[in-house]
This record gives sequence, structure tokens and C-alpha cells, in this order.
Amino acid sequence: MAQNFEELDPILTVPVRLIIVSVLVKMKQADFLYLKEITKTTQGNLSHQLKKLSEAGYIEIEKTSKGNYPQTICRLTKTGQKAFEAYVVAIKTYLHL
Amino acid sequence: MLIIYKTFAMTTEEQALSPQESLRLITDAISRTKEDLAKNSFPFLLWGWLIASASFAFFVLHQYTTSPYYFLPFPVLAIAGMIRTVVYYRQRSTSATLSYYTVFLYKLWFVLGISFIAVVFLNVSQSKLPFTYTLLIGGIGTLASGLIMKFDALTIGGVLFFIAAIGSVYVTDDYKPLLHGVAIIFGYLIPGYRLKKFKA
Repeated sequence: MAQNFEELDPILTVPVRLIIVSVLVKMKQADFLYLKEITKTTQGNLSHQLKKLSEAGYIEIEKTSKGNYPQTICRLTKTGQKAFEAYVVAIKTYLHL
Repeated sequence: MLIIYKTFAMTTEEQALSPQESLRLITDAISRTKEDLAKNSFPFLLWGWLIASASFAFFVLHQYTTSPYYFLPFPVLAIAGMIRTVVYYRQRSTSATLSYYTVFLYKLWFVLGISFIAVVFLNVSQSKLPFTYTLLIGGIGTLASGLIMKFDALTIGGVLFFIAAIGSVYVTDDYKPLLHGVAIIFGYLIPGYRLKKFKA
């Protein structure tokens, strides 16, 4: 149980990554454009943060095509779900909620 | 809140959030998660029109003609609806962004559709009119959808279906299909078009 700032999951303490995981908790799946709109970040930064989350095993990324355009679909993994739940418990504990 | 959200979200550096900032960001991100509710409305509205039309055609044929085939609008329009629905889903590219509640609503209406067909079959095979029970099925789907979407017009529409189902017990068999058609227009189609226009 995190009691200190430093103990929070470093993967999720980055704003864009936390937004992505928070959104995917509610979604079965979301595509790149939707996440870009929600996070209000740049294409490059979003790609970078998605890669970090994927490397941590928190999300899975599926590359497909829609018509003639490539499509990137993201889903939260069980690991990501557990990490998010643990993160929420940790910040609530820290804030004495 | 929006300014705070944008400030965090635009941060490209990997700076750590404080617990307070994290909690605010999570709350705000979840509240911004919305889907375009209207984008997949076509098959839902199509079925509303088909069943309402079949109800009115049934009423007119039964009431004002001597045709023994007054029941035919239902199977004919149901088959047409099934073909059109299959064509629609084959032509449409799969939606890449899906919330759990949308998936739940699709499955709910799929199961209710099967229930509708089963109820019609069971009642017709016993030479009974199915309208009281099909109104209840419509009420379950519409009221559940309205409550889940928090869309008042659909919720009221669902309640109207339940009132119509109870009311149908007090209406003679001749006028049950008319009540059925009117209930679909006011309880389902009008709220459905309001939902289509609604910008989430």
C-alpha cells in the first residue's frame, strides 16, 4: 500500500498514460483517434505513451485497417486493470479518503 | 477543471503527478468518455418502423377487409428487416471504439429480439394475439436503455410501453394491433429520433 509519493506506480503517474488507462477502464476498446481526442495530446506523444503502456503489459494494441486507412485499437489488459485499481487505492490512501 | 485537464494532458514530459492531481485527472477523464449514441441508430429505427407498419397493416386488413392473410405483414416485414439488418452490418465497418455499456445494450436488444420472435410464435400457434407480451418486451428494452443511457425520452417511452401493455388487457382484440402501433411510435420511434438528434 503506497503511503509515499514515490511509491505510486511510475507507469501511471504520467498524465497522458493515466488518462488513457482511465478511459480504457470504461471502454471495451478504443481507437487511436478517439484516444487522441480525449487526451488532447500530439500524435507523436500519444504513440510514445501507448508504446510505454504496451511494454508494461497494461494495454494491448491491435493494428488493423479501416477501408484504406490503418487503424490502431487499444484494450486494457488484466495487468493494466489491476495496476489501475492498485493506483486508485494508493492515491486514496495517500489522501486519507 | 478543463484548463487543468488540458494542462496535464498536453504535458509531453514524463513528470509525475501528485495523488491529488491523479484523482482529479482520473475523474475528469472518465467523465469525458462518451460515444456517439446516434451513429448506430439505423437498425433500431428500421425495426421500429417495420413493427409499427406491420401493426397498422394488420389492423387495417383485419378490420376493414375479409382477407384471411391479415397476419402476413408481420412475417413479411420481419423477413425484410432481417435481410436489411444483415446487409447493414456486413456493409458497415466495425466500430473501433466501444464502451462496455454499448456492448451490453446490443446484446440486450439481440436477446429481446429473439424473445419477440418466440413470443409471437408461441401466441400465434395457440391462436392468441401476442401484442400484450410484445409491448412488455419493448418496454423492457426501451426502459432499460433509457435508464442506462440516462436519456429521459427513452425512459418515458419505456414506461409508456408498460402502460400500453396493461391497457391492452382492457382493449378488444380488434384494437390491440392499433394500440401496438401507436405505442411503438410514441414509446420507441419518437424517443429514438430524439436520441439520434441528441449530441452527446
